[in-house]
Amino acid sequence: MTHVAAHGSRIASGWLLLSLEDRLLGQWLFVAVFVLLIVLLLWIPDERLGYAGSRPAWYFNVRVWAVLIAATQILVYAVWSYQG
Amino acid sequence: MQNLALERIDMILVVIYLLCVTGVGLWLSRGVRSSGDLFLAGRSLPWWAVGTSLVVSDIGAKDMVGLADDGYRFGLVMTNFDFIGCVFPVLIAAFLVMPYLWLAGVYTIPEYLGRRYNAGVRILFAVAWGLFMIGTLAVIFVSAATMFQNLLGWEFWYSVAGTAVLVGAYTACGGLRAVVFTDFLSCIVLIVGAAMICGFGLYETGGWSGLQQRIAALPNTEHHFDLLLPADSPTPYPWPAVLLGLGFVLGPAYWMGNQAIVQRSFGTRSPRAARASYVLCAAIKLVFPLLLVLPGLIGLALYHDQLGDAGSPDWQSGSVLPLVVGLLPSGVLGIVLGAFLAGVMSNLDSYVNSASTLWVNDLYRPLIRPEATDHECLVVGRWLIVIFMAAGMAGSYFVLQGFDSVYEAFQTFMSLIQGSLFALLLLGMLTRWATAAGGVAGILLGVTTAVVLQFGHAWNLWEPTISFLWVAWWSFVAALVSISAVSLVTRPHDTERLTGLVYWLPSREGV
Repeated sequence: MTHVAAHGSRIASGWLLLSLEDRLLGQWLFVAVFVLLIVLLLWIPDERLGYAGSRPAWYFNVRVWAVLIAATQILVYAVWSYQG
Repeated sequence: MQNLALERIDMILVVIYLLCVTGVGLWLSRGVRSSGDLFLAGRSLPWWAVGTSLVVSDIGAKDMVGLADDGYRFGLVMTNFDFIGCVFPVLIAAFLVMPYLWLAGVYTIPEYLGRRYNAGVRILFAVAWGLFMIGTLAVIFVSAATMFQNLLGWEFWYSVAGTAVLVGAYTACGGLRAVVFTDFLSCIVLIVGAAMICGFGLYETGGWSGLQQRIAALPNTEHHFDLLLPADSPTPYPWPAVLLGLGFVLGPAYWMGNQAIVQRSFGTRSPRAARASYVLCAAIKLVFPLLLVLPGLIGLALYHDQLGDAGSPDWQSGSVLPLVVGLLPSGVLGIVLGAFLAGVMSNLDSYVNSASTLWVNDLYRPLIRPEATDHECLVVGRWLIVIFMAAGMAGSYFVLQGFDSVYEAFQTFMSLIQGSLFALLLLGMLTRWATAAGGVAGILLGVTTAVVLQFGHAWNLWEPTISFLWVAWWSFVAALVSISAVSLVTRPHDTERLTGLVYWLPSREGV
């Protein structure tokens, strides 16, 4: 019973933390969106991008540029989501 | 507000810019001989021109004026419209959507939806989009004329009429090619002009730290430098609404389904060029939001005594940017006015050309004159450009009377149809099981949900008003559920019909 109560208390304090710092949850979700986007960009096979057999140099590869742009967005939301 | 006195050098720069844009637009009209030239530039546009055109088709006068206003009122949260609301959906569109729509060989999004679902869906969306575009044209006219009135003292309706005639002339003659290449010029001028406003403004505030200190000393500004506002924020932009409504519905619907946006990528030379144009757009959009929102923060730091508290009831829409522009010296002012004109013209030409494309391809040709020749469609397209311009001018009267800010008006128009449009596009492109009857049900329930949520407050159904971001989200959910439910009990199209229209059934040509 004590264990359950302590566990419940931890959950309650977890929710309390989220409700007080809900923007921390928001920040993680915004960052997660762009992380998932990068995973998706890397997952698309070459032939779907028209690169089958002849992958272009990195600076002509739009996938590379797209990943860099998404990574910049991760940085933006990780650093500037909110102050304190 | 005191009007700015333009020096001779400013006027010369503005006139040179106007002559360049109109001249280029009219010169490019020489090659327009068919409706394909008018609407898709013969599918010959280079990716770099389309990429910059995408940016300025999205960002125009309404954004310069509206985002400065809302930057003053709400702060950096407004940059989300270009970050989660643009970069994220643009990259998804670049890799998953645009190359497939290009290969489908369509002129318009309703045309794609018509082939994927049925003619009823096509017509419903063509009508809805036409009306949305008239609303958008009205918003652009209001933002432009308000700026001219506040800055230069020009009479409101003369500004509206002058803008309509100038842009209408080269758009009707030159079509999409004129639109895209003049947009390329506009994009450069817009970036230079916006950067100058920010540079001179920051100099006046004592740099970034000076800006922060001045704003921190003002009331109700504790979140002005935050990208995410608390979930219980009384503004329209609490972070859950931004993530769900903007990031997952309005943004994707706008960048994948807005005819004025996607049409220029249909005009590229190949699916790879369409993808590259979208990626270039996303890259430029990394820097643009700050250039547009920063003038609002500069205005707050410098002119709070004059403009008052951001939440005050006597807030005057469109009042921030003219004051900030007033900081600029002669010569530079001419460049910035050129940038503003660039924003007006690029926005107007994009929307009016696309509205015409929609109604010729999705209403006139299939419904009114199936036997119409290509030349006839070209002529009708040009006349429709004139008619849409006139309707936008008339609509500007109602926007002026009915909304607190031009940006709010634009977003409200968008939230009514974007949720159901995106649900249809999403299920149409990613599933084989979404049916035609499901599509019709999705539009009807999605738009009805949006209208009830948006106007329920005005009909005394509830208090307070609901953020347009939540309106978009819940109309999307309603459309998604109704398409899925009706599709369960109706028969989908066969695989042959869906080939090239669904992501998992690519055409043989590849991308």
